[in-house]
Amino acid sequence: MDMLDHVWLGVLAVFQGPALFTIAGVPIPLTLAMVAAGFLTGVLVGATPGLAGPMAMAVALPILISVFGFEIAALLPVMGFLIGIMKGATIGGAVPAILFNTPGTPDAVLTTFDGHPMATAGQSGKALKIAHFSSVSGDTVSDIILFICAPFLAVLVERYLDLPEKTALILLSLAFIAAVVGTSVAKGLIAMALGMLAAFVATGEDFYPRLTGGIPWLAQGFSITSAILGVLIVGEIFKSLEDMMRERAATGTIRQTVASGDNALTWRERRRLLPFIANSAALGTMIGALPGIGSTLAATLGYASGKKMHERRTPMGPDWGKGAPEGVAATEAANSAVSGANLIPVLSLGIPGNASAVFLILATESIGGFNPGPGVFRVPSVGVNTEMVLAFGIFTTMVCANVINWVFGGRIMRAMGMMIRVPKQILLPSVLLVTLTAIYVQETSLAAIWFTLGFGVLGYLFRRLGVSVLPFVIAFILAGNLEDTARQAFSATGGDPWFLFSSPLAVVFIVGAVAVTVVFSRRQVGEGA
Amino acid sequence: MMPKLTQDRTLGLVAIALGLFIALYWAGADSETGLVEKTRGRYSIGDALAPTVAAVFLSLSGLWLAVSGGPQTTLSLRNAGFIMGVLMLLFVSLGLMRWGGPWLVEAITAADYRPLRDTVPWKYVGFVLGGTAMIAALTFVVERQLRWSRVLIALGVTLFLAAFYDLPFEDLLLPPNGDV
Repeated sequence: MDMLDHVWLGVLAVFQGPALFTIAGVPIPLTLAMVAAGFLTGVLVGATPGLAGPMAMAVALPILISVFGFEIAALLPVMGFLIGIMKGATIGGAVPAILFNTPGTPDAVLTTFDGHPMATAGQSGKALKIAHFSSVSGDTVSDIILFICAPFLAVLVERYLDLPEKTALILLSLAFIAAVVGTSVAKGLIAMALGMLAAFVATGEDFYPRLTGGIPWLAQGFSITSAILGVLIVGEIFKSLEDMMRERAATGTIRQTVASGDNALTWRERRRLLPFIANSAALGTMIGALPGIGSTLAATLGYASGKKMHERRTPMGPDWGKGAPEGVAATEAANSAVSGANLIPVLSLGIPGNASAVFLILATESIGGFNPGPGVFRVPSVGVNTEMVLAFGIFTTMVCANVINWVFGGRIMRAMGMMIRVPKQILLPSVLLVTLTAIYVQETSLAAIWFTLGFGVLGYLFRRLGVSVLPFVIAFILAGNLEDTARQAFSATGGDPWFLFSSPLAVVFIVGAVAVTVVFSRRQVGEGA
Repeated sequence: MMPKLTQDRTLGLVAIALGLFIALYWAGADSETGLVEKTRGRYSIGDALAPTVAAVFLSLSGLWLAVSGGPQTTLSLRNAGFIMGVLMLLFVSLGLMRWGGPWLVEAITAADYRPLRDTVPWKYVGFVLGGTAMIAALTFVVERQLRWSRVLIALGVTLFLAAFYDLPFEDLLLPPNGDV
C-alpha cells in the first residue's frame, strides 16, 4: 500500500470508527464527538484566567484512559479529546490575555502586548475577533502542511539535526527571546540566566540534588507549574492590585475595562490583516516542525517579524505594542500554526515542542500500540503500517477540530468575553485562588503554593524593574532540555569541548545567537538615543 | 566623573555579585560532581557545569547592564510596603486554609482531622475559610472598605471552586487535604 492509501485509511478510521449515537439514522463517530467535547472544554479552560490547556490535559488523560482503556482502539478518541483541548485552549487563552493582561501561557504574553491595550481602549470585542480569525487561519495553514509534508519533513528533521545542532538551536531560541522581548537585551539576558538557574535547582544526574544547600523541601526542585504560573499570573495580579489601589487613592474610583469602542471586524480589516497572518503562519509552521522548540519561539518570531512589516505598511491603528490589531494577529497566527506542525517531531521523533505535546506523547505511551519514532512514516513494502494509519487518523482529528473552530470557536470565545463585566478588584483575587487551587490539585503540596507566591513576587519585581518575564519562563522550560542535549552531544563527540562548532549548521545557529543579541542591542541603543 | 547609580545599574551590580558567587563558590560546593568528570577513561559533563555557565551569563549580562544603563525604572519603598502587606494577608489566609479544618474538628468533635479529611463537610472547611479570606482581604486592599457583599461573593467563588474540583474528580484533593 502506498502513502495515499494510508492517508485514506486514517480518515476512515475516524469517520467509520465506533459510533457514539445516531441522529436521524446517521451515526455520529465517537472520535468526532470526543474532538468536539475536547474543544469546548479547551475554550472554557483557556478562557478561565489561571487555567491552561496542559493543565486540563493533565487532569483529563487519566480519566480518559480509565474510561477507554489501554487498547489501541482507545488511541483516536483519547487523542481526539486531547487535541480538541489543545486547539480550544489556544484560542481560549487569548481571552484572559486580552481582557485582563493575565496570560496563562508564555505564548499569550505576546498577545497581551497589543490585545490588552485594545481592550483598555474599549475594543475588547474586536481584539477577540482578530485573535480568533488569526488563530484559526494559522491553524488551518499548519494542518494542511501537516497532512501534505509531515512524512517528508520528518525525514529531513531526523537527517539534519543531530545533538550538537539541537543544542545550538536551543541556544539560538534563548538568545532570540532574550533579545527580542522587552526594552533591554541586558535585562532579557539577566532574566534568561535566572530562569536557567531556577530550573537547575535539584535537577541533574547525581544522587545529591544540586543547589539545594541540603534543604529537604527543596529536594524536588521547583515545579514547572509553580514557576511559570507564579511569574506570569501571580506577578501580574500583584502589580494590577497595587495599580488599582493607587488609582483609587488618587482619583477615588477604579477604572474598569468596558467594551465601548469599535468592536466590529470588517472584511476589509480582515484582508489587511492577512499578510501578517500568512507571514506568521509560515513562521509558526516552520518552527513547529523543529523538535523541542515550540510555540513560544514561533509567537516571538511572528511578533518580531510582524513588527517589521508594520513599520513598512500603513498601520490599521495605534503603534506596535500599544494596541495594534496587527500585533494580535501576528502573535496568534504564529502560535496556532505551531500546533499542527508540532505533531511532526512529536510523532516522528517523540520530542515535544510545548507542554501540550508532552501530554500527547504521554497518551501514546500510556495506551500502547503506537510508538512515536522514525518508523511511523515508513511505507512498508508489503501490507499496512498501522502506526502510519493512526498518525493520519490523528491528523484527521486535527482537521475536524479546526472545522469546529471555524464554525463555533469565535462565538464561544466571545461568550467568554462576558467576564469583562466583573469588577477587576474581585476578579483578580478570584483568579489568584483559581491559580493556587489548580496548582495544589496537581502537586498536592502546600509547598508548591508557597513556591508559586515566591515566583509571583519575582514576577512583580521583574515588572517594576522593567525586566521582561518571558525570557525567564522560556529559559526555565528549555534549561533541562538544553543540559540533557549538551550532555549527550559532549559524550557522543568523545568529550569534545568544541562540540557546538562541530558542524556547519551548529556554527550557523551559534553565530545567529550572537548576531541577534548584538543587532537588537544596537537597535535599542538607537531607539534610546 | 562616576556614572550615576541608577536602579538599572544597581540591578546590574546585584546580577554581577550573584553570578560570581554562584559560579565561583555555590555551584561547585553544592553539587556532587564538578564541571567535567572522567569515569572509566571517558569524559562527561558534571552537575556543576550548567549552573556555572548560567551564572557566568548572569554576571556578564549584569556587567552589560551596569555599563550601559537602560530604561529608567521606579521601584520604590512604597512598592516594597505593598508587597509585604499582601504577602502578610496571604500568609494569614493560607494559615486559615491549613489549620481551619483541624481546629474546627478538634473544637466540635475532639477527634483527629486526618481520618475525616476526605469526608463532607470537613474536607471543605479549610479551603472555604482560607479562600474566602484571601479574596475578601485582597478586595479590601484595593477598595479600602470591607463590604459584606464582597465577602459573600468571595464565599460564592470559593464554594464554586470547591465543587468544580471536588465533585467530578474523586482523586483530586483540595488544599490543604494532601498535607494533613
